[in-house]
Parts: sequence; structure tokens; C-alpha cells
Amino acid sequence: MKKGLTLIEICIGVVIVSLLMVTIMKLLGTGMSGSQKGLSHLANMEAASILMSQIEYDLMRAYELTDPPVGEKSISARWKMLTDETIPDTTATVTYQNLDEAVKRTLIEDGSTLEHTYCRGLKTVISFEKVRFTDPKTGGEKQGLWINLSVASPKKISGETEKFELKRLIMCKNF
Amino acid sequence: MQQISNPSRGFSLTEIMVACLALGIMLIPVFMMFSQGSAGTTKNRNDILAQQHASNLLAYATSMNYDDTFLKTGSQEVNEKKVNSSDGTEIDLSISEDIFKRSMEIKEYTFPGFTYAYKLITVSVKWSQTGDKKTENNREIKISGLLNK
Repeated sequence: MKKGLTLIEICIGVVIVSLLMVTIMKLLGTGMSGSQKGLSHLANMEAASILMSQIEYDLMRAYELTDPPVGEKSISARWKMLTDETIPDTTATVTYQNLDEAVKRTLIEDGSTLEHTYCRGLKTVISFEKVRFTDPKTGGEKQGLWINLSVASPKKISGETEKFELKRLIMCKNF
Repeated sequence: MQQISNPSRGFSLTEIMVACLALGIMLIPVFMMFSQGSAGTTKNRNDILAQQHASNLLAYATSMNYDDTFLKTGSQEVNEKKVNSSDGTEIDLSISEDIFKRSMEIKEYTFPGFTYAYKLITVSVKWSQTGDKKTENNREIKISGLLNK
């Protein structure tokens, strides 16, 4: 006698498959969200590191810190720097400014303006503070910047705000 | 008349268990991939933070006067460090993450008949890759700077 599946058998089968699928999907979902968080954290770290490296490279060539004034914390900074070691007296002014969803670097050299945007599309918080260390014996002074940078992914990308923070003390070498 | 035997037969428990096992084995690489990605992110994060902690201390140390008491020769642990700039601004160079251990080693080099003296400042940051404080610190970053008198 040819026998098919009864409704009860199908129902039990569906329930078992559903239970298995729910468990697997939950595990996969956890893995995927962890992976997504990791990816956005990696993107934030990469963006923050690139920006901080550029700031450090520019500060190493600085010969006069213009902004922020002493004792003030600011979302923007400006300084004068040497641009080409091979050509004497080649100078430029560089400005970093926080735009909330990016940090803009503006380089003014020979009347021409060059703009670059870092950490585009990421929530950025940056603050610059001028730091001076005076030598009590010689009266000599060293200047630099204390920089706090925080880069976070928007919620729509990571599901929650992944934040990466960097704090750097960068001292100028030219003065 | 010959009767054709066509018994209705389902899966046995053994068959179902073998299928579940096969499915489980197939899923292992997928979850391993996720955990490896997470470990890679943590590793990169720790590398960047260690570099930051080492650079900050070296930047401060190389800004000091050659004879400053902070730059005494020898080795010292510097996990906590708050400094004040000449304007009174407090800068916290302390390490906020428990997994890192930072030390600074200073060696002085003087040469007979040569007026200048040098201090070689080496800052090293050690940490455990697994993030476990009890396990041995198996990762290390070292950076050096030179200060002259």
C-alpha cells in the first residue's frame, strides 16, 4: 500500500527544522553582528591612524604654531610649516578643522589652496591643545600639541556606535 | 499472487544524528572565521594603542631637560603619568587599559674628550595578545629617541 506523510508527521518535521533553523540563524546572526562590529571598528582605527599620521607628519615640519592660543582647547588648529626640504624658505600654512562627520585639512601654499578630507562619513570629535614645556634652567621652550581624536561609526552601519579614541602628544622638532 | 513489500520507512535516530554532526562540522569553519576576524581586530587595536602609549611617553621624555630627574638612567615602570605644561594644562599620559605595561629605559653615553653626552631613551610597551592579565605578555613594542646635552 502506498503511504504518504500524515499531517502530524509533516508538522513535527516542520517544528524540528524550524527549531534547528532558529538556533543556526541566531548563531549566524551573532557572528555576523560581531563581524560587522569588528569591521566598523577596524575602519575607525584605520581612519583615525591615517589622520593622526598626517597630523604628526605636518607637525614635524612645523616652525610656528598659530592656533589654538595657549590655554585653549579647540576643534581646529593651524600652523606654519616647511613644505620642501630641498628648496629653502618653502613654507605653507596648514589647518585642521573638525566637521563632525570628517576632518578637513587645508594647505595653503603659494596662494593655492589644497583641501583633503579625512574620516569621511564617520562621526569625528577632535580637540587640539597647545602644550609648552619650559626648561627652568635654560629658559628654552618646547612646543607641541595634545590631540584627542575620537572616531565612531554611524549607527546605520554598525548597529551601534563603535568608537575608537586616540590621544597623542606630538612635540615639534623645529623650534 | 506475489505481494510487493513497500514498507513505510522514516529516518532512524542514527541517521539524524549523523546528519546533525555533518551540519555541525560544516558550520565550524564559519564560526571560526568570525572569531578569527574578531581576534584580528583586537590585535590591530592593541598594536595601535601600544604605539600611542609608547609615542606619548617618548615625546614627553625627549622634551625634558637632559638633567631632569625624570630622565635618571636605568629602567622604570611608567604606567601612570600626569604632566603639567608650563601653562598649567594637565596632560594625562597614563595607560587606561589594564593589559598594557609600559617601561622606560635610559642609558647615558659619554665619550672621553667629547663635550657632548647622549641619553638613549627606550620606551617599551608589553601586553598579552589574548588580553588575559595572568598570561605572559607575549607582545611588545619598543621605540627609542636620543637626547643630547
